[in-house]
Amino acid sequence: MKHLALLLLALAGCVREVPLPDFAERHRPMTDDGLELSMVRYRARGEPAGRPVLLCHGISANDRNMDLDEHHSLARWLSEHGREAWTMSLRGTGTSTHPVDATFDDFWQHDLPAAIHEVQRVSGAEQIDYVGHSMGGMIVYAYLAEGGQGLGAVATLGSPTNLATGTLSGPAVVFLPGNFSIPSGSGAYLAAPFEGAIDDGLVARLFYNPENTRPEVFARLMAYGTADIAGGVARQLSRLGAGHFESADGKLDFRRDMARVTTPVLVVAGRLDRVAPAPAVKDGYRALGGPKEWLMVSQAHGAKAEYGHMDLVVGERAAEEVWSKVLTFFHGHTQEVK
Amino acid sequence: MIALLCLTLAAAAPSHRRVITSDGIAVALYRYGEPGGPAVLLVPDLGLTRAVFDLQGEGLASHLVAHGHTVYVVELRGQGAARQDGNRYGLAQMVASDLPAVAKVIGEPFDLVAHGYAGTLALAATARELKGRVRKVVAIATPALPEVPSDVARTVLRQGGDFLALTHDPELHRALDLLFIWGGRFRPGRVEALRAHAFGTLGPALSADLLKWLYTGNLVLEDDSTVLGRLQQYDRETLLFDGLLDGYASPEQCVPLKEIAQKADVHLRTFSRFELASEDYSHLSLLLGAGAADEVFEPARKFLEGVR
Repeated sequence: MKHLALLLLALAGCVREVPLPDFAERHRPMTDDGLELSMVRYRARGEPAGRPVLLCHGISANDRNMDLDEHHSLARWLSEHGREAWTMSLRGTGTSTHPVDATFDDFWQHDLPAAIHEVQRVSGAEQIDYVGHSMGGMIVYAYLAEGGQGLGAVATLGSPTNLATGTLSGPAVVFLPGNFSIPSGSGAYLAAPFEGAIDDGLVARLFYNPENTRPEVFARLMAYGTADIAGGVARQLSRLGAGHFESADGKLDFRRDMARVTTPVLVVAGRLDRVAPAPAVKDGYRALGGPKEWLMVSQAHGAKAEYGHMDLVVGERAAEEVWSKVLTFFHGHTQEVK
Repeated sequence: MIALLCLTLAAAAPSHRRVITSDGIAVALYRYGEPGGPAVLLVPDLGLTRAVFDLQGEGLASHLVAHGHTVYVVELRGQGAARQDGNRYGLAQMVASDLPAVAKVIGEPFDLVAHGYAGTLALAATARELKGRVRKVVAIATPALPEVPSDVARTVLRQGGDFLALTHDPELHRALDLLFIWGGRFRPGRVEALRAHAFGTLGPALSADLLKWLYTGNLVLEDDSTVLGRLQQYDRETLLFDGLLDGYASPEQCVPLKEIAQKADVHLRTFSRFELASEDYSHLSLLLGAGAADEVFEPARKFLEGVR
């Protein structure tokens, strides 16, 4: 067993981590409850063309989801299109402080406000834009629903608010263990060298469509773009399986309160997303107060292949088929901000 | 062996009759199996024919007959064998006239298997025109909140909804595939067969009605009520199946039935390949796909028969 573990570790080390670009600036703001967050700033290249954009990853992930390498990087793409982009690692992920436990509430109550404040402080912008992938979108839903400020326009990519939509994964998340962290990041790191070895394997089936994302690219995401899931986060989000998107103590009903959101939101879903199926994402769209827009990325809407959960952020054609539409949405809502 | 084959074919062959509605239109009604079993009415989606339930002797119709049900399949006005003068009709008349006429012919209370947009109309009818006639409902990709159509759907419907003709169109047959077939898993030869037999003609008037329904999200019926209003009154115990890759009646349009129909007990099943499902399912593979018998027909039958 010990030898197998060593072998896996050795193989995992073969999946090369691509370093951040030279122009990336590292920042480490403090949250109001005393933890350090890891953030990276990508200055706008060329003529600045709008507000800074904060990018937040999903569950079991870290900031590298938004900047995997030169060719798969929403952060660098935005920077090349005149937007100052910032990535962040939530507590317990990446090189941010790893507390003993955390909840989803910690993310929207402490981490996101600290990250927004840091972008505002450094850039001088009063309002910033935001892109959240998966849970990163759910965090901003909760933040805005409970009165959070400072965001001019928002895009969420594959962010569910209700998993009781008829898939078996909905009821399954109810049984996520909540008493200890789930070693999903460690597992992904060890499994990374083998990704793509089996056609139609479980990882691809759940997370990406090989017609959009090459297995070797996804292997790198597994190697350095993943994180373990805190028990408290799993415990809180497991309630989505019963259709409840709420605070840990059950006192705040985020889904109900999303009707109060007046920040413009673009809600993006992938037709082949099996983690956050379209009905689960559309539920959030319907809950939002507006202004809001719905974008289904699918072949019926002009995409070259159907989009899985991670294709929205690391797909080969994501820049053309997803990110450009996010940027258009942001540009279209620039004037609304006072 | 030959005798057995003849017996099987005879059992599979439906009897066909024309049913004249209150406004004098003929709709086509097929009966599979002998009278006396629990009656089930199957309603194919708009622009499709009864072949979605019976493609060359295989499908949900024969599956239910094999388990003792008496199965009726209707082709509503302008659809399939009921196709004539299609330009005169509207979707509201299907609810007001066609479905009650069919219910009258069936006589006894029946279970309902409703497919696609026509299926939603049938669900709406249970609150009034079919009140007291329908027992349980299996809904297959029935949109409760129709949405603005995709470019592909818009293109297809703006052609007048002649789906059959589009199967021969070198450009648009791909659009038809994306809406109805793509992503489904079919046995060899089945896609060709369904292209030949399952696609019909919606007609310009019904296509225009459907487009209007999609753009507004609601449809006004003949008594000035709306489909959405009817669904809020809907109270039948329902098993709703959706395919993740349904490009025509996508799951996000169908799943809200559970929330809208507060009086109904709606059980949802959205297929996804990550789970145990053999495929993600498209609009037509839900009924004609390689896995449909095990993953759709059997759960549907058990639900109708009250087998847990």
